Formats: sequence, C-alpha cells, structure tokens
Amino acid sequence: MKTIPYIFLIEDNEQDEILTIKALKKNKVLNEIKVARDGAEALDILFKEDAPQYAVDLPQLILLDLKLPKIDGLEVLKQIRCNPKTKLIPVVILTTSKEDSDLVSGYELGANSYVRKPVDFHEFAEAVKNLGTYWLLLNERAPV
Amino acid sequence: MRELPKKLLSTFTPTRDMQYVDPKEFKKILAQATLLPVALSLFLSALFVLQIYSILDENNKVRHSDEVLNYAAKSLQWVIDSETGFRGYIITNNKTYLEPWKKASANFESSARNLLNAVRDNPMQVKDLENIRELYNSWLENANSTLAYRKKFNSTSTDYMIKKRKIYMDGIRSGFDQFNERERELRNTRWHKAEETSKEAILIIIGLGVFLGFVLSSISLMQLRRLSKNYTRAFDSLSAATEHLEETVAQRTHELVLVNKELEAFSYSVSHDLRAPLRGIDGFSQILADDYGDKLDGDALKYLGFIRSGVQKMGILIDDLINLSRLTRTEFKKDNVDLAILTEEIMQEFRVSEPDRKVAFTNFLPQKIDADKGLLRAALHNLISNALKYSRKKDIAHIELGQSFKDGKVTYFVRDNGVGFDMRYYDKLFQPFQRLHPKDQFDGTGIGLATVARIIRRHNGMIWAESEVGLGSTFYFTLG
Repeated sequence: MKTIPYIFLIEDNEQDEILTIKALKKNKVLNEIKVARDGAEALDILFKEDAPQYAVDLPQLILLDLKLPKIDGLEVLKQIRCNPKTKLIPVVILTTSKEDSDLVSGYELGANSYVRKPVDFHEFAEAVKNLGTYWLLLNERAPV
Repeated sequence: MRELPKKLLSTFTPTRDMQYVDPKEFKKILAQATLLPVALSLFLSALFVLQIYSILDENNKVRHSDEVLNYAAKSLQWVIDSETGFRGYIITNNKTYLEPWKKASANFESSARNLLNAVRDNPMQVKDLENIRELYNSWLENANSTLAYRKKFNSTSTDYMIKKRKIYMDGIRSGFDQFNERERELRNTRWHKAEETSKEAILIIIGLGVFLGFVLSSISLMQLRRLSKNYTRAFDSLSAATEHLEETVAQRTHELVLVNKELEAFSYSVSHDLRAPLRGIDGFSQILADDYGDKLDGDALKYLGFIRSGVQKMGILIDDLINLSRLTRTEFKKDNVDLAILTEEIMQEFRVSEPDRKVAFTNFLPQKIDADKGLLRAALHNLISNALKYSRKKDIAHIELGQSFKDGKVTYFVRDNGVGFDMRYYDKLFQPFQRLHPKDQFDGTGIGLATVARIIRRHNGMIWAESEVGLGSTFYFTLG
C-alpha cells in the first residue's frame, strides 16, 4: 500500500481536535493525522533529526491553531518557514481569532490560508471538508 | 473613560500655593503711583509759595527799615533846615530866613509824626524819637525865646541860651545818630534774616523735594518689586501647572494606551476563548444527534436542537460584542466619502441577499463628506438593515435616505414605513442589548443601534430618532 503523507494538526484544545478529526474522517480523508498539543511539541515532531524519508516524515498539510501553550502559533509558523526542510509545506491557520493583526501577521509569516473556525458544527465540518478537498486533492505539493 | 476630562480639569483648579495678582491691589498700586506724585508736587508747590511769602515778608521789613531811615534823614534835614533858617535870620536879621525856618519846623513835625508812626512797634525807637521831638521842641522854644529877646533888647541872646541851644541841637543830632544806628542795625538784622529765610526756603524745598522724591521712588520701587514678584510667582505657578498638565496628559495618554492594550487583549481572549467551548457544545450536540440519533427519542433530539440554537445565538452575540468593542478601538481615519455611492453599494448588497423584497429606495443627494469610510459604512449598513427589517411586513418598503440643513449643519436621515417603535421606550433605543421588539418577530441581538450611535459619536456627531407605532421610524444623525 502506498504511504500517504500525514496531516499535522497543531491544536491545544482536545474538543477542537476531536471535532476536526471527526470532520476530516466524515469527509473520507484517509491520511494519518498527527496531533501536537503545544508549539514546542509541534516543532519537536517537525524538526527531529532522523527523518529518513521526507515524504513520510513531513506532513502534507499543517493545520495550525494560533493560541498555543509554550510557543504560540505565529512563532511555530515562523520557524517552519525559516527551516529549509519545512518551508514549502502548506500551512493553514485554523483558529478562532479573526483579529486583523492575526490575519496580517499570519499571511506575513507565510501562511497559505487562514480559516476561522465557525461555532456551528455544520459550518465547521463544511470548512474542514473544503480544506481537505482543496489541500489534499486539488493542490499540488512542491517537489522535494 | 468618562472620568478622564474631570481628572484633566482638576489640574486647572488653583492649588493653595498658586498666587494671583489681585486686580484690586493692582488698581490700588496704579492709583498710588499716579496720586502720590501729584499730591507731592501740590504739597511742594504750597510749601514753595509759603516760603516765598515769608521771604517777601522779610524783604518788606527791610524795606520798612529803609523807609524809616529815609524818614529819619528827612526829619534830620528839617531840623538842619530849621537851624539854618534860624541862624540866617539871627545873623542877617533878614526876615526872609524866617519863612524856611517856620516851614522846616512844620515839616519836621509831620515828618516826625510819620516816623513815629513807622516805628511805633519799636519802643526803643519811639522813646528816642520822643526824646528828639522833645529836644527839638526845647530848641524851638529856645529859638523863639531868642527871637523875642532880640526883638526886645535888639541884641544877640545870652551865652547861656546859645550854649543851651547847642546842647539841644547836639542832642538831636546824637539822638538821630543813635536812632539811625539802631535802625540800621535792625535793617541789617532783617536783611540777614531775609537772606537766611531765602536760604532756608531753598534748602527746605530742595531737601524736602529730594527726600519725598526718594520716599516716593522707594514706595514705587517696593510696589513694583512686589507686583513683579507676584507676577513672577503667578507665571511660575502657571508654567508649573502647564508642565503638570502636560505631564498629566502624557500620563493619561500612557494609561489610555495601556488600557486600550488590555482591552484589546481582553477582547482577543473573549473572541478566542469564549467561542471555543461553544464550538465544542455545538459540535458534540450535533455528533450526538448524528451518531446516536437512533438511541434518542424525539424530545431528546429536540432538546439537542435547542442547545445548538442557543449556542449559535451566543456565538453571534459574542461576535457582535467583539465588533462593538472593536469600533472604539480601531484607528479613526477621515476620508472624503461619497455618501450616495456608499449607500448605493450597501443597498446593492441587500438586493442580492434579499432578492424578493420590494423596496422603494430614495438615496441621499450626491455629497462628499469627511468621515471614516469603514465606520460610516457599518453605521449606514445597520440603519438600512434595520429599516428593511422592520418594514418587512409591508408590501412595499419605503426607505428614504435624505438630508436637511439646519443651523448651518447637515442632518442626515434614514426613514422607513415599518412598524415603528413606542417613543416611551426611546431611552433604551441606543443601549446595547436592549430590544424594543420581541425576538420571535424581529431577530437580532440588540447591538446594531448601539453600534451606530458609537460610530456617530466617534465622528463627534449626534443621533436621534422619531417614530410612530405602525407608521415607521426616522433616524437622524449629524457628522461632526
């Protein structure tokens, strides 16, 4: 079976994690989903030294929350973009905030997309579905 | 925020150590500075006149002495004339000499009387003069006796009589000498006194003038110093107050910035943290309904629906709240906005979102105004949205956007023919989360008009409304 690159969900809220995974599964996303609960853990997973295979060891898509313990989302994004290994991975900011400052900083630091999590689960599921369809099916990854 | 102007004002109220230049005192000083020199010069003039009078008086006394001496000389002359006339007659026996003698003796009498009159205030002189007169009378008697003797015996008088006559005449001469000497002395004394008085007068006037001038200038100097001190103190406290004011303003500004930052952090936190649990409640309610729907009865599903609708309303409420707070925090930037174009854009949005509504729409006259475009758009969006919402039950909604000019200011209005509201509850109209209509008839969180009012206030404008139930409402506003 062909290995599918994983989706990396960086999210501190357990309920949001469950809802996101549920919404992804509901929309038949088969990729493995790795979860980090804070910024530090996320960076550890991404930058671990012994990554034998880029295709499997690096995620196909990063879903990043902004408000994270230890190292916040924007800092995580900055480090992802600074590292030559991870700089090309699509990062979608998936957050509750829609403060202008967050939007601007997010895009300035190189986010590929910015999605605000709706309260309504139907809308949320729809948003996650669209994200999956677009970033996992339509969008082409940059070659290694 | 309301407290701020009060606090700023408090720095204007004078503190205890703040000194003002009392206008009354200033007037007093001014009056003193004008009246004192005038009074002083009047006083000096009066003194000067008095001194002049006393000098004149002394001079008059000197002149009087001169007169006395003059009279005395004349009197003596008459005595001499008498003797000369008498002697001429005796020697020549010519009667023509008798005439001058008689005349001289008469003249002496009047001259002596004048003289006596002139020196009557001086008893010594009077006494001398009386003595002279007596001697003269004795001499006259002697002379007459001599004449009688001569007529009778046709011979010169006796040696005794001649001797006696000589004694009288010598007495008269020495009397006059003494008289003149004394009067001369008197005159000299008087002259000296006049001189002294003049000198004194000059010294007194100069001395007093200098002294008073010195006193006056000292007083003026003192007052000027005090005035200048007061002014300096007033200026100092004023500049201290200004400095303090600047400090206060800077401090308040700093505090405001901090508060604003805190508010921003708070609202960020609210928008992020308050919504996250809502999403959980909504999501898991939905998952319960989806995944465990077969294990739940109809009521349970209905209740799950209630939970979700409540959560969603809360979500909207939080969003509105965030928007309202953002309105006061975002940077205010005035642009040249075309009101007619802006409202046309907003109407176009509504035409798209509610394509089935029949709306007769009258737009503002084309006019460019200075306003924050984003904020003004939000305000107009709210007002038009309300107008549309509350005229929903009409077949054709009439929404009129217009302007009127009053007191040199433009008043804009948004009028509808909707259900209107009861003016009794007017004071709740622009309060956040206050609603004048039940939610099941007209949806909304009650934040729209509060938002509009806040935007208008940020433009230094005013907003008010008029309405009649069933006939529609008109919202008026001005912009700065």
